[in-house]
Amino acid sequence: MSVLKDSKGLLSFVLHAHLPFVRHPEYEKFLEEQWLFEAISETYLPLLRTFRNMESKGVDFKLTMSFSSTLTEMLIDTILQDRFLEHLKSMIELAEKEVVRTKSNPAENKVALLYQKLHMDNLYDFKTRYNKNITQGFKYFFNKGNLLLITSAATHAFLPNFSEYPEVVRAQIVTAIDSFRRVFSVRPEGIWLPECGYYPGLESILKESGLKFYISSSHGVMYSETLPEKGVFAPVQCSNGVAVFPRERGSGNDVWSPTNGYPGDIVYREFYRDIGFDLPIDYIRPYIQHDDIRVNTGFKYYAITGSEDKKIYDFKKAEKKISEHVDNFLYHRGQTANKVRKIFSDRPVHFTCPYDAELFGHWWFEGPSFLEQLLTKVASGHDFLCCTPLEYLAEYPDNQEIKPNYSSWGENGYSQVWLDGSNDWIYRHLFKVVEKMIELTERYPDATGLKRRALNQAAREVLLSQASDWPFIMKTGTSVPYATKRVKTHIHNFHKIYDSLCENMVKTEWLTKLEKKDNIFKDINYLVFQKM
Amino acid sequence: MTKERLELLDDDILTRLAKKVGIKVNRKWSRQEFISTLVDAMAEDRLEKESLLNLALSAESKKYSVTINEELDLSYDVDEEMFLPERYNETMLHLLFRDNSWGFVLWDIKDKVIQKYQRDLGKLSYTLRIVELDQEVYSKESILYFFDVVVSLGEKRRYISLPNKESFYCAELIICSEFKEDIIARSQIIKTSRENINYIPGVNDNLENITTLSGFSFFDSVVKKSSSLNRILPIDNTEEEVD
Repeated sequence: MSVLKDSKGLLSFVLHAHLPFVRHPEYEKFLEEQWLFEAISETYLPLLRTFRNMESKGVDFKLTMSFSSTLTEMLIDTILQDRFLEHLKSMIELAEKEVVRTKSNPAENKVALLYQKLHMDNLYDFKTRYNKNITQGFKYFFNKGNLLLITSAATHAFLPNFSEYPEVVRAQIVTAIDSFRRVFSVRPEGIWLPECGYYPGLESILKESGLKFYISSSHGVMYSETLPEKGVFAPVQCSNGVAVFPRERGSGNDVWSPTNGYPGDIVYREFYRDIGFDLPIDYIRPYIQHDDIRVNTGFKYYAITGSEDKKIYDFKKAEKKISEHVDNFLYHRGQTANKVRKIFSDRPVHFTCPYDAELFGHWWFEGPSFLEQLLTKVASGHDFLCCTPLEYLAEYPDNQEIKPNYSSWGENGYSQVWLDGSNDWIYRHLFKVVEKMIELTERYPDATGLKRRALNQAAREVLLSQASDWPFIMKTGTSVPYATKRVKTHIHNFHKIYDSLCENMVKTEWLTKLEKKDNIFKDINYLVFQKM
Repeated sequence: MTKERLELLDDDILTRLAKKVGIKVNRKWSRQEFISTLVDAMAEDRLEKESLLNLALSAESKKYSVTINEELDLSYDVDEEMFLPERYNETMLHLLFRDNSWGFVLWDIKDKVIQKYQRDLGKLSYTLRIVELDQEVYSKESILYFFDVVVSLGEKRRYISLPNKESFYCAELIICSEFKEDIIARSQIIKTSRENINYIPGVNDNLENITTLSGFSFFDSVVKKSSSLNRILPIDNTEEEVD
């Protein structure tokens, strides 16, 4: 551990993995489940392969990953696991057809073979290596000490919008911790606040839940009453000792920026051209949705190119560029660290670099390779070291105390993505069900049997209605009818349970069906919503 | 959604799409003109949305984009049968922090309460009072300033301008008659935050340098707001005014 002290700078990469709970056993095939399948195929399995690659080379990498409970509960769900397996088989079939179709064009054929390998590797890893439960892969690297796993809120609620109801915030966090323990057999010590949403006072619930740190937007720290003397280059702490790791803007811009960010380089794979849209409907029909709704298949043949006349993607060129980008990333951090070290030198310069995990692989196809090269380079003797927030805190437990500001990583830094003309109608209903849920815990402090099952399901429906994804989707305009329907459905289900309890007429058949459908948080205890 | 894909759709679906993106259909249009207008409207809509998102969020939204360029997903229309009540017939008032310049107020008054006041006092009017406080606890002594907005009985929500940074605010819902006014609900207290570095330049070079290296300047502001003369905006105008 003491080597941390000797390095010029420390890089804390944090990948946040999250998807809303999209599980629809009531349909044979469901469009939004594709979100999960794409993320497993293009992000989670490729990331695990990069971890194994590094392991096989003896690279002692360090990385933090946060997992939302909605995601991990889907990853361990047998119905979704089986559906993903079917999806994979279908993709392998398409890959075989693509290899034949592109035979006359060697450049395209190379790409087709690349996808065929990707899906074959995915099939082997998913089915044979992980026995369909890929959380085991992440747990393995956690146990080895390479990966720090942290939690998020249970259904990824944007917590500042629920600050009036501490019961909600506690229920979101306690449920997430219980779910995390069930999946990973360990208690999380840090949290990714959904959308980096923080409001003053939240730290008291984090502390009582045993969470030692959270990741923050940079302005949440920099606009505090007391100016952080180390800027964003060291964590700070709240008055109760919960540590705050502020995002470093430069490392974010290098990767995120749609204009100058690495993923936009012209040799990298173009995300927006997919054979699901480009090939004749008769050919692609078996691999898209019912009713000929074209969707991404993941088979994308073009490089970004920078002009309308797209060039065929060349992975060798991309690999070379990845190496340049890794050097560029480290060069920029090195330049910054040199300047920062003139201001303080009592400890290494720390860079918190948080990203959406799904950026790597899904959107930025070369992302996992970038990460692998970067972590390998750092681990094999560089001025920098990679570390996790916990390792940093073990070495430097005392940090400057400040009062962080209300903040998020959303547009303009506050709540306006999740509270907007397009989505504000939901809050009247969300608040109402919260109040009724709290009331139920008072009316039934020790329910048993069918009543208890109904109360637990009511708690699940309340949590599911609160996902930040629904207002986010309403605001950004993708799949709005689905998000609207989800909010309405969970609220409707809750009211139905509430009314049934009031009438003392819980219908077992209906409840059982709902339990099977919204089966998240197996061991939830409705009393988690008890009044604070 | 591409032009090619639109061409595959029948006229009824195109008309539904037009309605969703807010286009008034001109019956004189040919099918091609109709499709071109739709493509333009969708492109405009998409550009607007893209410009609204910051970097992190634009990446985040890629997770939900299995249907490339298809902002309008026709596959799962909302079940019309599953409607939620517009209100719950209760007296309630919430004030939510939206950003440092705007709060969102959500309220309702129970029918019985209105009926009682009408019986006792006759003709009524309704006011939202936005109160600025000097601390997080409400007391008459802590009131710095307030302003009133008359609202109609049918209104249930508004975005409200919060004039000052680093200040505490709450909302009050008031029933007024010719003879008296009664506060029937008070919201939680919210606090607007600082939008700049809390430091006077020229005192400490190290702090100034570390701030700059952190990506901030002393003129920095997370939100660049256009000032609005309207303190309180009806819900339907909010988007235009804020932007």
